[in-house]
Amino acid sequence: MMTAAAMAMTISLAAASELKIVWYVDNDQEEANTRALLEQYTKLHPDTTFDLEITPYDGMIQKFQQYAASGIMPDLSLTSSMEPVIRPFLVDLNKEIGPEWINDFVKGWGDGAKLGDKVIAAPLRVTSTGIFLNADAFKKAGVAIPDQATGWTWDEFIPKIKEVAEKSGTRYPLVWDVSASRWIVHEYQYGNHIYTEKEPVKVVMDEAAWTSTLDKFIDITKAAMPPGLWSGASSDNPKEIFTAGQAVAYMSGSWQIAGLADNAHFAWQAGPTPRGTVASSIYGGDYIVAFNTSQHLPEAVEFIKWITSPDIQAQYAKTFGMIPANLKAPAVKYDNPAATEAIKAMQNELNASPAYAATDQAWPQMQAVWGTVKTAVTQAVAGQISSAEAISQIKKAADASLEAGK
Amino acid sequence: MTAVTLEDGRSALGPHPVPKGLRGSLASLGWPYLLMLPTMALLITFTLYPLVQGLFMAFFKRGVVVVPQVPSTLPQYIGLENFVGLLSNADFQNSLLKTVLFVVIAVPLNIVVSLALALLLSPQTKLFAVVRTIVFFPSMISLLIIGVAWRWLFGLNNGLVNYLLSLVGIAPVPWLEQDTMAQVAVVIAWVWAQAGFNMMIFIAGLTAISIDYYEAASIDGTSKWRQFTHITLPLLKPTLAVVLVLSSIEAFKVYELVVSLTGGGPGKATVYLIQTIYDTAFQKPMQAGVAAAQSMVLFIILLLLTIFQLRVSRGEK
Repeated sequence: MMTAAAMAMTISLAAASELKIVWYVDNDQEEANTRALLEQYTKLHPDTTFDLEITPYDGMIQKFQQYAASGIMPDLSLTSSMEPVIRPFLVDLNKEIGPEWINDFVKGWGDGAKLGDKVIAAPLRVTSTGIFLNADAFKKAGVAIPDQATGWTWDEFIPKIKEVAEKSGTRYPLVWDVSASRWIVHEYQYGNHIYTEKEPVKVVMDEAAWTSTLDKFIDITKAAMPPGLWSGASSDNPKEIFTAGQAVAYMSGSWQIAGLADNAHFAWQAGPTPRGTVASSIYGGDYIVAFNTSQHLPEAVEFIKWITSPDIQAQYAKTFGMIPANLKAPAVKYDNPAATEAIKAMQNELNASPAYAATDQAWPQMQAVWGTVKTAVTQAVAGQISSAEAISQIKKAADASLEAGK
Repeated sequence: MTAVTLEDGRSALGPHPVPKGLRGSLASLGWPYLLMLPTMALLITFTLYPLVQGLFMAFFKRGVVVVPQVPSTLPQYIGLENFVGLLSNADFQNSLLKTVLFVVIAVPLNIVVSLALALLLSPQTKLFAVVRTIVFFPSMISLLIIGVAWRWLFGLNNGLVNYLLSLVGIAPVPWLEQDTMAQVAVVIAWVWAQAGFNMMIFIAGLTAISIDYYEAASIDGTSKWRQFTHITLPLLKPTLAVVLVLSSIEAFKVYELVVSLTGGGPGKATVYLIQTIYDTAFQKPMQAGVAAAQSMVLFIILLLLTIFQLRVSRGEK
């Protein structure tokens, strides 16, 4: 009897797979939610357990470089980009799951997962960049917010939020995340983008048009934002300022929705995001990848199929306050009505964005440009270089990225 | 000199008798060298190998890692091109210049502050012992955390420093938002972080000065200031030199504090040499060779400072 039990245990242990999985989170709650999700999977598949490694988002590129250099990799990882050095080690999901599967996902983000004929990543969550408004401040000031269909241009928007700030006693008209991707949306809104929308990828920057738009942005920083916010060193935190009710508008993204639902003690809404000559957001988000060095490849692929399936995507989106990447996911009803509306509004803005709002971000070459974008723009805002010099630096980095992205 | 003889007839002054048996054979095998092996292994692994590897990398166009499956990561030998390129590399030159400026301002200020603290807190009383511990405390904290703390303190709208200034009617200062003020903020935070450690070195130096000199000077009616300039400073010269060199080395390597305090901003106003090297290696594709060449320049600067320190230390002996 004892021998039989021991044998059963041995067989069970032999069949069990522990998947090493690398993840990054924004806060403790997100980590707890991630662990709960993995436990949920283990309950359904008792033979699959997880060794979860939480790692800082900022260190992911270096981590991937270490993996590639050492050849020692996890089974699965969350990532926002598939660095060239790890691409040879990524599982082709086209082969493992089937060629039609990727079409189930938001197109822009799904395209980013493709590498030639291969699909090297699974879209997990999508984010959209846009504006949040302090609806209470607008109401107090007696200024109406237009509906999504009507919207407003930046030229109309800035005087309005200044008026609202003045009449409602709100400290700042506008705060804006100091981030390259949040800034570049402003360029997209004037029709400017870095790369071609189709392969072969080429740089299509019109430096004069980009410079003119950067000048407009610098004017906005001076007219409506806290002094020095976009100099790149300020200790002011746009999210905290807006959440504390000290700003009329906040340019950020859909990932803020869960936090605003919990912490903002005033009526708020997402959008309409001002437009330039074009209405645009930018695709963002994360993928999950499997490594071909894995000893448990079938289990890793099975987990990817599960976590990106429509029902789990809806559950995931609700728990994490994200936009589902899977288009077949049932409509998500978030606990907070404002959050539900905000997600819907941002999803609509994303869908109405031009193709380059997805492709610019999706081309792997872009990963080599983000750093220069932020430094050049903050230098231009701080007055250390001219707008033309800043754009020229971004163009140079974009040209160099074509070589690096090969 | 009279030789001292022990009871068993051995001389108390060497040479010692050669040990016999196992100890004897170990000694003949070079026991002292064996004892040095762990230290040598650490030194070779963590200092010498990276140094040689860094120098080697400087002659190649390459990224941080080499992945045989990714052809674009394979190194290409380019001779001295990375070093020659530094002559026209504006980012490198600007950050080197800023670093030198930082060293020239922050190090003397650090010496003045830590010497003043040492003079103030050197008396051996219980109260001063507590104050000394408090002043020394920042030296035990990570520079990264110190940077974060000062980032909060220097906040434009909600920072403690501007709040205190507002109490005396001074308008908010854009400590982190304006180029010059951000550089000042870095100097203040760095001096605060370093002063406690240097104060302790100065206190050790002050304690070594005989009290007799001061008593004699007091009897002659010499003022405290003259005692400081004519007794304390000259006798503290070797300690001053050590603090000067050690602080300069630390200042050239300033990085963590700046990254967490200003992130190198506004724009690039506080991007110093180490951050430039880091950004070049890790933020720009296939630039690790350039970063290695930049590191070699920093290595030469630090080497010269270390040689100077060793000479000063020998002079002290």
